Amino acid sequence: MPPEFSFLCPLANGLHARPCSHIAEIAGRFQAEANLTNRRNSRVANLKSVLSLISADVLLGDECLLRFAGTDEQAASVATRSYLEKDLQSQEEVSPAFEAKKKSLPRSLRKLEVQTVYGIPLSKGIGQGALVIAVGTVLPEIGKHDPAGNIDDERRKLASARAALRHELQELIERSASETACGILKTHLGILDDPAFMEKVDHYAQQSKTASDAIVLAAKDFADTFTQSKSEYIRARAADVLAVCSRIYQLIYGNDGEKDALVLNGPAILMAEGIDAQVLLRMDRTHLQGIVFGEEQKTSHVTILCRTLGIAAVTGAAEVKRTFHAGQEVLLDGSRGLLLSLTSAVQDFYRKQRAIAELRTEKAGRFATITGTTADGKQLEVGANVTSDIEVKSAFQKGCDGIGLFRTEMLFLGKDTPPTEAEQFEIYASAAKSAGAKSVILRTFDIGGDKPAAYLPFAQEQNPFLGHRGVRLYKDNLDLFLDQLRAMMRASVFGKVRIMIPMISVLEEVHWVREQFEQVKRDLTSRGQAFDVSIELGIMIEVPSVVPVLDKIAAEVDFCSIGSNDLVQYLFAADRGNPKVNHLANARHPAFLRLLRQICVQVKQHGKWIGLCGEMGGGARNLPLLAGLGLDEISMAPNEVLFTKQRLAALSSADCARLVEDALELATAEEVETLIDKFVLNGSERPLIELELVIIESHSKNREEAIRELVDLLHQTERTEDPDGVEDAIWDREATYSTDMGLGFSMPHCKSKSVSHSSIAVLRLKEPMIWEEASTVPVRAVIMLAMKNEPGKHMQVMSKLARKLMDEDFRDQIGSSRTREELVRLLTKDAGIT
Amino acid sequence: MKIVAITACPTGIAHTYMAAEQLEKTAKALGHEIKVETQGAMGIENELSANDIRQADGVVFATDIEVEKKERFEGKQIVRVSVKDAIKDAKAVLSRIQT
Repeated sequence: MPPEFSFLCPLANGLHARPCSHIAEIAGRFQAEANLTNRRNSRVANLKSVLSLISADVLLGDECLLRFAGTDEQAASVATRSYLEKDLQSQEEVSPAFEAKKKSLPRSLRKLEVQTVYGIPLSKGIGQGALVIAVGTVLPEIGKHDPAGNIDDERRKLASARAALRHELQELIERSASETACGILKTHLGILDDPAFMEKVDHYAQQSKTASDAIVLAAKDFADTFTQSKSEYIRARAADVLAVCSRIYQLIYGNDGEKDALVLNGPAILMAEGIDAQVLLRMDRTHLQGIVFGEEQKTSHVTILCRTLGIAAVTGAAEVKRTFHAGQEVLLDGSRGLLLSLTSAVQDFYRKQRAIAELRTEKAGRFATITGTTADGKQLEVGANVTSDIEVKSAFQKGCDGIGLFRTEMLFLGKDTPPTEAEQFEIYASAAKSAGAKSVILRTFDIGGDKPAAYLPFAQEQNPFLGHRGVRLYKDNLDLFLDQLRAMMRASVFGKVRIMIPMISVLEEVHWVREQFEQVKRDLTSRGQAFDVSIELGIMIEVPSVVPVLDKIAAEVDFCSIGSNDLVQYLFAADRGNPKVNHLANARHPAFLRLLRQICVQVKQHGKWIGLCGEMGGGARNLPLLAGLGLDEISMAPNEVLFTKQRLAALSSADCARLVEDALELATAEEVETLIDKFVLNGSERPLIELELVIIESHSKNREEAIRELVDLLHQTERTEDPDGVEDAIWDREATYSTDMGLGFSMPHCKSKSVSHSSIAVLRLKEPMIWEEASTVPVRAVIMLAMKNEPGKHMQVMSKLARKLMDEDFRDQIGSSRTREELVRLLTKDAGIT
Repeated sequence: MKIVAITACPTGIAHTYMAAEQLEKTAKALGHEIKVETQGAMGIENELSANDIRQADGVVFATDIEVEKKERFEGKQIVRVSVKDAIKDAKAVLSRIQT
């Protein structure tokens, strides 16, 4: 009788790809036919096929029967059994510890106990929609290619594409340093040579008579089976099959020209693996609510694109596919770097956060028409970074003082041919017109190996960020460069256009560019085409090698703008998108601040204009440093402009200059952070309490809600820029012991650097609540004391209030005040708080 | 009776002062003389002198953190309670002073 035995699956994640490939590999060593029957679902799998095994959906505890038949059946049975019984356990994947990361979730959200995935914040914003899992390349629709006359031709195409892919994968495996990447590539190789896969492709090839449909149908078959599995691991394998099929398709039908755009049918959060800038640019983004990237995502233009297009994005969230299923409604929080299952409680929380954000934007609106200015009257233009002429228009509506960076390469990507001079002229002219008298800095295309365009032949580069990109490309693609220069110069008659060159590393490049620039001027003149004769030519300072010789370079350009993103990465030799090293790429490190200072001094010595157009331009913590460095301009994402002007208006340029002097003397990033902590970010002191900090009829039902409601008040009134930080600090204090002392009120408090202005905020509860389990007396009022790290004179007032609260009559009055005014009066006059 | 006390809590911005106030009020109501030193976010306030301590019939530490300069109290009987105890029932705390 042929040998057979049964087996009980001991793996928490079921028989996923890795053990399946081991089993298939063992079974493949023998002549004997071997199959597995999953008793739970009666599915039968060929033991020699990984895909077939995965399709059997063997989950933890499933009983399976294995049968062997053939000349060497006994040996096959023994070998397989030995693997299953001895080695299978070691295939268990250990999930990384999540507990350590949980801190990033505000307590009030944690209380909601929803499914959560933690990642790294990439691009601010909140989006919600169905989770759409996309692979790098999307397969075409069925019937895209007409059936071929000869089925053998189609089979040959498939066979040679498979051979090419096998070769490609083997090379990648050899080159790959990372074990994880290697594992994935091997899985792909396994799929490619899988008997069940080959059978299915061939079956569909025969049926449909086209290689294209054969690939698509086979991919769909496997993907559909896998996505139905209860095991997240097995569900995730669908992406592998799709990736293999996509690549085979590409190898037969070519790449960019044929690639179909990604289509979203409703509000969606896109789980993108290897999605490139082209796909993102090409797709209709109407329904795109946010993008989440898996762990492998590194700094690339797709990440910058997310920020510039204002798409909320989170990276390093590999757990998404294990936690959520495709089609599940999720919420993506780009600021906190989270994905949450979209429950009604989550919706309520974010609705409130949105309302606060809108309120704050409204308040900042008055700065729209005023050039960025400090409290003591020093101007610092606040510009916007954009990628299209449409954005220029909206950026000016959002109150920017100019366009600090127009990334023109976006016009070049996602197309089969480069934009013509005429097309570009139209776009640049429209941008110049929208800007009126304000300046628009057009940066010539910064394309490189990391974001290839279809019509530019790029050699595969080991390190595209140190490779053939930016200005380094222009000599080899002179026509493209000259077309662009002409278009830009011609647009200069409609406004104040300035031209900026990316990736300058040596003066020789400036010389060469200047020659082309003058030549284009002569060409235009001889053609009789108008341009602004005083049009300025500037450079990006993003390669550190220009800084030591900036005295020479600044003399030969009209202006400079610091590209802080690349300058930081190149200075510290650390990729900002790599979680293992991105802590090094710190724009507030003294090393970088000294470099910035050197740049500003050198450029100013030549009386030239100096701006900064990297991401450092945004963000409240950088602003005092930037305001103290002596820059003429900073530019940022358009949405940041108003808030930056608002913050700037509260800063004294003299204080900021002193701050920079002090920071330049420091040795470590930590010391700089401490220094900034001490600096009053939001200008002068504000009163401890005001009407907006009192809610007379709060509907909060528990401690978590009450604390968040108070923290939200601080956020809304611009007393904190980091409400989650305040919330954490309050909870840290609550953790030592409850601030409910059994007196009918509780007094949560903290001293934290997240507080910009020391504040007292009060909730009177509509329904008294039990503060914590051990509480005996219900709490009627919650008085929150939020002190900033350097409490100063406010501390005295705070201690007075604390003492006053021991007076029962005073407490009763707080409990019975009918209006906010009455309550504020009580706290200010009667308690002596000023 | 003459009493000296120290109050100190972890953040030093609320309960330190609430406890001090409660001890002062309660002691006065009971006819005792009291001086309370607070060790809070503003540092040491109303500091107890060597004389205050020498003359005191009782010493109370209503603290949740380490007391600073506690060498001043060498040889003294000390009632040690938490800040919370002093706020909730100062009378019971004071009654623990043995005369």
